[in-house]
Amino acid sequence: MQSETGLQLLARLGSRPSIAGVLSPIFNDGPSAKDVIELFGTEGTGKSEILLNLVAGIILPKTWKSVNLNGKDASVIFIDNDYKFSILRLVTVMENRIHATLKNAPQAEENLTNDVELLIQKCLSKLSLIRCTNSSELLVTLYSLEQTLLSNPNISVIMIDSISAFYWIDKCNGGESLAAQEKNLTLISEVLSKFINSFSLIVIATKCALMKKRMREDYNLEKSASNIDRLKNDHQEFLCKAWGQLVTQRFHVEKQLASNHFKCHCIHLGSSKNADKTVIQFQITDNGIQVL
Amino acid sequence: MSAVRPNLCPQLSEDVVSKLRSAGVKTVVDLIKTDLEGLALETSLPYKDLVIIRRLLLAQFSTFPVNCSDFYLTTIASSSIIPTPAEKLNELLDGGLYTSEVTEIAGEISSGKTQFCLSLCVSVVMKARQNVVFIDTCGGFSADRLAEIAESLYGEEHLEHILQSVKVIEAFDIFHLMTALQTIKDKMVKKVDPFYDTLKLLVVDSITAVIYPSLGGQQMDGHGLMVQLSLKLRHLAADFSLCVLVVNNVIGDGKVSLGKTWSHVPHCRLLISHPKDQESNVRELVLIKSSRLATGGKTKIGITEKGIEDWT
Amino acid sequence: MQSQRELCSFPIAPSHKSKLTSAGFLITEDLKHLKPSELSKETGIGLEECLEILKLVCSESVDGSKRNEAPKPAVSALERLKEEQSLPPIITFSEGLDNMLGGGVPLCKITEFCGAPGVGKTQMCMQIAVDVQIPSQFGGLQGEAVYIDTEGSFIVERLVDIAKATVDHCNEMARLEGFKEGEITVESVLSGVHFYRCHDYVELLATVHLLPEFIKKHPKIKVVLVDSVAFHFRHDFDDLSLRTRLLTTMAQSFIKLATEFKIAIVLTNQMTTKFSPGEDSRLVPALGESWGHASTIRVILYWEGQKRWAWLYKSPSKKESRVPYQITMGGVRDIVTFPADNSNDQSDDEPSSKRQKVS
Repeated sequence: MQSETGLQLLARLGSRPSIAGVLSPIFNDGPSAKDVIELFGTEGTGKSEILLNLVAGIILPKTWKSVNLNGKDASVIFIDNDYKFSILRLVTVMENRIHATLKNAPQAEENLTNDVELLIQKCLSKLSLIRCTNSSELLVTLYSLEQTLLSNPNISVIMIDSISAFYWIDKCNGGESLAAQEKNLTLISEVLSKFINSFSLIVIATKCALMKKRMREDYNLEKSASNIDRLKNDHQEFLCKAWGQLVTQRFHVEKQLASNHFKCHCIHLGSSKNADKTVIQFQITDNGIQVL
Repeated sequence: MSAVRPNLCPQLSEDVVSKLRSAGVKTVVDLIKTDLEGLALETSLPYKDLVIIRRLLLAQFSTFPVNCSDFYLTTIASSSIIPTPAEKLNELLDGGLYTSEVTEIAGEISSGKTQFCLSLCVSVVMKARQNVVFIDTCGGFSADRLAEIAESLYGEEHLEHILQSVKVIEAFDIFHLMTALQTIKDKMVKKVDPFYDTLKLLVVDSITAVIYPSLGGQQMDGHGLMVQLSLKLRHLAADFSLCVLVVNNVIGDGKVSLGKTWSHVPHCRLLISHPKDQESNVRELVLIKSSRLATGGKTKIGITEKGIEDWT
Repeated sequence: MQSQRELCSFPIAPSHKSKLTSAGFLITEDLKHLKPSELSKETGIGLEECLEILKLVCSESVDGSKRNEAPKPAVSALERLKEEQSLPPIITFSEGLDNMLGGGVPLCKITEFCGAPGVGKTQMCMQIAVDVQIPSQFGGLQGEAVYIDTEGSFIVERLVDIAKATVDHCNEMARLEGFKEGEITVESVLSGVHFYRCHDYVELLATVHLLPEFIKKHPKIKVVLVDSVAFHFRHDFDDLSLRTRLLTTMAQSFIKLATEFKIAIVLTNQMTTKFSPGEDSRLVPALGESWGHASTIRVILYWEGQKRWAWLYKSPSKKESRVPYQITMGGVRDIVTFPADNSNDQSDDEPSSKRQKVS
């Protein structure tokens, strides 16, 4: 048994900033500590956009110049396996969000453009970007993050876009053995699980629908139990078991071709309430996600 | 990632490596995940040494987090937009093709995909004053046509400069393509060839020609190679602020080939097609995927001796 | 800077890849200082195969251009332009067709002629097989041809007819210009056509596979003709994804062949009826759309009334256009006489050699 240093104890017990209600109503009053959220969907269904909006909400301050920005003032580690993270898009979303809030706040001073720029710079320093090129690198990098997490109690969330990025490569390198194919991701899940428990972290990851069970294009979307069943059926875990067991909530994201609107279904896994019937519709504009 | 091998760090002598290997610690990952106390007992290597080795390897092989405040400033400094020769298309794309992005142009046979690429080459050289590498995977590159576009737009005096600013690599299978990409990367890292210092556009015409032969059947390999290729393209785009333009096919009923796995790859996907009721040189471009912009916008271009241009 | 290329991005057999991975060898750097025997001991892969793997991986990491299988280094478009201009195309004896193609059938490219039965695909192939042999003093390539017949439509008597017309034409040119006659004879033409008959797709693939060796031994070969590429792939193929894979693999072999040996590849393809909702059914080239991307240049041959037309459907360098042509006793020719007088295209009129300029 290794002894714990005072710093470690503090990091473990001392609470990290809460991000509850950051992107409500999609996440309701969550996410809360130790949640592992998976955003699942095919290409172009807005998964990465949800992450960007989350980041914006998390790193902005609660209030600024006595205007309520409703941010969470917490730090984020963003692991960009897909090499798709667009900082310019993030800044646009943040700018628009700040300006929209200022417009509705009578107490706001005029002409804050320069200050907004400075504020965004300051907020961005709370976001760390990591880009990994293969699953081994991701694993080793996660191991090295332990120190970072210990020394920075402001980090509340690790985001991974996407967790399925190296699926095919690992599969083809592993040869015949499933264990060899899944070795790295299993270890990655174990490290994440350890972090979640010792640091009360939140993990939010996207997973591309690389494998799909039969999917009918022309289904009739209804808020019915059968609809939830359908979504459960449509999802088939193709990643390793360790990852599947880690996930506590799965969000199915879909795009409706006719209206250009997106739908997000939340499914709580392993909880007794079973199917949560929340269906949130949103659209993606220049300002980010707009819930309908 | 790497095997545990001598000289990765000073503490890793031949002897230490062979002891580690016989204890089943073959890769850097193995060493990092293993319980060091147990390993020290098993290999009779000093625990302290193992801790040092582990720390050094962690530092060497992990990716360092980048602070986004700095990242934002470097991104602004290094990113640029490459305008296409068609103004309306530029409006559709919010300026043109973006660096650090993979843009895909997909179309049916004879829909003008190669023409689009050749036109872009000339634009990059003359408008952005940068260089181009054109990877030809199916013999579609035509220097003659490139020269025609260059000359009709900018006259003979610029012809030689334009043609010298475009390099062509032939790669007819996926492995040669990956070797070619590795070579480009090495040249940009080492900075020995001034041509690559101002490289801005990388064209792969077409991506389908090299991926198709390895897909299908029972092989897993094909998908693995395809993903690997896609990652290499995206890494090049992001790490060197390149604009990567790939050509894909449309097969039957407007379906873009290569399926779901590939559809995640491009940041931006343009569909080019010949509208049935229009003259033979008119094409319609539709933005069907973008990580930045609303999709579904369309514009018309004409293909003339000057390459592509707005069609009014 | 270390060479960080992953081993799995090399053409190594999947079973060997997994052995390498499980033995901990992941990037080129890992193999750099190993002897084949050491690698064999660590991985359990045979010694010979280890030698192959090391050769493949390590020679490339030192210098990408050293292996003869490695891709050619980058060249500037300017050099490419000079190269393209230095390669004379193969003329077809129809000036209109040649102009449409930019001088003739180009070297280093795949040219595909598609058309319904009887429109003249085989005639076109034979004409090209003969024309590629025109001696250099007449502006020809003085080459040889590989002719792969999959349909059994090759008729040697027709080749003799076309060869005879071409030889006569060259001799007449020689007389006019004061060159020596007899540089090209019907016998020399016939012996310059290397003929293969492939009865099924396996034979076709095998033949294509062996072509590089054959061409190395016969360096005068300037064109490979396949009449038709579609025949064996159109029938008895239930597994369409397998067909696509075989066809696209073959297409890549062809383009490799074309650029490596600087030869022309000429393929013929059949037509098939396509039904699409809301449209009239129409004739399109066979083998599906993924094959259609394979050829660099596609020419569709079709009938309109009594006249044959060639339609340049796809080309990276030339505009879409159409020209009429005819097939005479002597082969493929322009229609120069008034079309009204020429109601019967299959007439036996001898080619008027004065019309045909070979220069």
